[in-house]
Amino acid sequence: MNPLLPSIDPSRRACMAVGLSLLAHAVLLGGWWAAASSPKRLAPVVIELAAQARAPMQVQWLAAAPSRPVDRSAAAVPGSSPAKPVGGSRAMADGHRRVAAQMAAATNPRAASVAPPAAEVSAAVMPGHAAVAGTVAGAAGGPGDARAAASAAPTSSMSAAEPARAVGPQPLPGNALPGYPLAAREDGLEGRVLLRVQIDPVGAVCDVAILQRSGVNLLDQAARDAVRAWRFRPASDGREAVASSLQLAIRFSLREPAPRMELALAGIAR
Amino acid sequence: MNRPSPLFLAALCALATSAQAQTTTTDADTPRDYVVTGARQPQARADVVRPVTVITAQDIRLSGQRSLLEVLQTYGGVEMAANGGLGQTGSLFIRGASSEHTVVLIDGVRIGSATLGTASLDALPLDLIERVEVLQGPSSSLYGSDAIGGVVQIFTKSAERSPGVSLALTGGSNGLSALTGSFIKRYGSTDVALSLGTLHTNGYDVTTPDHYAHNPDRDGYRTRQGSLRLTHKVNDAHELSAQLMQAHGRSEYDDGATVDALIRQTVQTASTQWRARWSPVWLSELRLARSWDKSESVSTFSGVFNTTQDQLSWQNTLSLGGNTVILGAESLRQAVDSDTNYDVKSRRINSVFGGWRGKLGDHALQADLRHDGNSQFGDHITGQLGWGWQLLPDLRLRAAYGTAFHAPTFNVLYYPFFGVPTLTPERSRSTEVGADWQLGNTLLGLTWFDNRISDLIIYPPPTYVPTNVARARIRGVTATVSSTLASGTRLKASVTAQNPESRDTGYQLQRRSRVYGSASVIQPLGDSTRVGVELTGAGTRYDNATESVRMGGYTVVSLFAAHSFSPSWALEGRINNATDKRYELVQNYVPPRANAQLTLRWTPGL
Repeated sequence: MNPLLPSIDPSRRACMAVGLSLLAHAVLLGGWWAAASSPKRLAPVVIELAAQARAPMQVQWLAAAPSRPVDRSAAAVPGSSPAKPVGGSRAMADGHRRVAAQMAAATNPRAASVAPPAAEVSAAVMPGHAAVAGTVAGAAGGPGDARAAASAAPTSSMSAAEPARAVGPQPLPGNALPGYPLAAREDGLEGRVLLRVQIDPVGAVCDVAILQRSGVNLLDQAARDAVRAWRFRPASDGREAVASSLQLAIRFSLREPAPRMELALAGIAR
Repeated sequence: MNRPSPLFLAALCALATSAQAQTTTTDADTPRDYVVTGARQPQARADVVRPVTVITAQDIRLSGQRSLLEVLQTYGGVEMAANGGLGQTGSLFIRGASSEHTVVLIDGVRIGSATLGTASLDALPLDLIERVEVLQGPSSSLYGSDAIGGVVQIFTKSAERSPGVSLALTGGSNGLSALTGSFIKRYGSTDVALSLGTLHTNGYDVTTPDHYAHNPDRDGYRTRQGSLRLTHKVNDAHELSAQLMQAHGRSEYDDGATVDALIRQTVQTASTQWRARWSPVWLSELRLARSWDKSESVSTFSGVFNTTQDQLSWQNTLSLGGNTVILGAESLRQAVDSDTNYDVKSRRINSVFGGWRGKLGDHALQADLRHDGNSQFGDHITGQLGWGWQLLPDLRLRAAYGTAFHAPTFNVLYYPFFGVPTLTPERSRSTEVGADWQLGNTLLGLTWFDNRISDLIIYPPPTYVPTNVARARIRGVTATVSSTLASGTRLKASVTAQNPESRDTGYQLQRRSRVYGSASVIQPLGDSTRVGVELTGAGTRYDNATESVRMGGYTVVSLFAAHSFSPSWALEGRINNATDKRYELVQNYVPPRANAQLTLRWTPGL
């Protein structure tokens, strides 16, 4: 045995060779996937949280401690059954019927009296009711929200007036933003990640692709994992709900000593 | 079947894609951002009773290819000594305690040599490491034997903190070349973390011509390492994980002008863990692990010293109201396999421990008790009491008192014709008082400590037989600053002023200084560049017990810069010891002179 060579016994050498070979394959495959431009298809997302309206209290907790694990329960769309499981477990069988009922409820003026909880992530506005939009804006507080609600109101009132018009998907109240990963906070890492979300006709997310990285894998992962659990009011072509896709961005920012959440509407692409 | 068929959903997604392809995108609104805001670290945690120094993943990445000991010195607030640079033997001194008084854990698994009583931190490559936490002060009531100076907890890369694929190629002075890669992904409820790496350096001549065994050749180092961790969430309540880690190194040293001496060193761990939340109140963690520390020296006289440590530990955490109760049991078996015929080749230490953490208003209290039993040293009980008081929203006071012990090593107990099997453990009592003050985004910490160690084992002339006669006392003050300024500048600094002395002779303890410190400043330039500077320094030290071999004080400056020229590609560079300072950590050994390294890093998207 040559004393100048490291004495690794053959089995261990084999393990290291296998390991390095696996890594090389993984790197090559990863590069090939990244180069291919088709969006990755994920396994069906089953969002396991109950669709029950949660209080503003929950959201304020979220606002106070964003680094804690986020409770992703989604508020019910007014008019829909609270027991309806999110994301399609039984929905698939009668998807169209259920969505049609949901759309009907959405246009029902009575449904608007159940205002979405205050300061929820998205300004999901009931069509045709600026009053509701005002409620959402008032409850949420802050100029950004009023802007968001105000800009939502004209769209929705128009859609109420012309029921045949196509409407894009809307994020529902109760969608939770990701917490700021502790490791990223410690290292002072910030960034903005642009995501493309594929939404099925029931409003569940079936794919999330990262269009533009933030430069920090930890933030990309947190954003993607959070958005996977989001619910949307599905897009409609005027008659029935259809699958759609949406681009949205999540920006992680270390600016203030005390955390805040701002509301914004995301761009719509279909 | 409640779940929709994957095929159906896949078809839906396909429809969505095709729908998008057919329609034009509306450009009604420019996408506005959802904003997630976080408070900048550092943030004083409201339950801190004993401060823990954290070395973050970024600190480690910007440190490039360096010895873990050097990183601990720069970011961990500790002292170190080494027989040269990368891969050479080194020692760590936490709060003036000696090298055997440190417990080193890798992902909760204790590593180290039972013959020497130290862990080979010099053999651990940085590329596997994601994070290091240093707990300074006596911690035997938490971690068992040896934690007189403190505990170093090393965490390897995980999917929670370092997701993604990464490949890095490094080149540098003295023929340094390294290739490391990691593949860390979360697949549903399973996390996979695989890291592999290799490093080679021609090194430099680590001894001075005055050294008795000087050899003017370069003393190189090469290492191969890998780690694999699998974590599987069986359901919300149960999590299983398994882990393997191996670092295999070969370092050359000087053992005479005509000899090519080298040491082959392997540090390995294998462990499995079961974390079960049996109820909202009761969390149970069961770990079964084995670690190896194998050392083979090849020289005129060769020697093999292999230590195996088997650990079975069961820790239960009970959350009762605002209180937390910890109850656990551990069994540690240390076995030695060597070409030296030790009189006794293995021993077992059985332990039970318990702790309580509670809050009374603004006061946080902590109490720990541990009983360690072994047939050689009998029973040993250590404990700790801690108190923290959130006096103001931004000012916290804390105090702690604890005892700790260090079981004698196999070398002093069982070395043939030398060991004394009746030696008792070294023990210590320590008090600390401190304060943490938060000023905006700056956290200031001040800790005064007093560590009294007794029954220290020394080899007094004329017989040089190991005996428990010595006493030492280390009193000191540590000040730390951790700050992120508005311009994004990140500053971390730590200074310790201490009096590490033998209580018998009054002399300064070997290789420890009266003042040491470090600082690191990182400045982002735009979104894709960071530059920084590190300083480490220490005062005068003596390399013997009677203050007659003097090693002068030093300050070493290192510079680093990192630039991402695309989301996937980054270039990181370092100049270590930029002023080419010549100094000594161990008499007649040469720490690294000025050297530079450059790393190209590829991190594709998730």
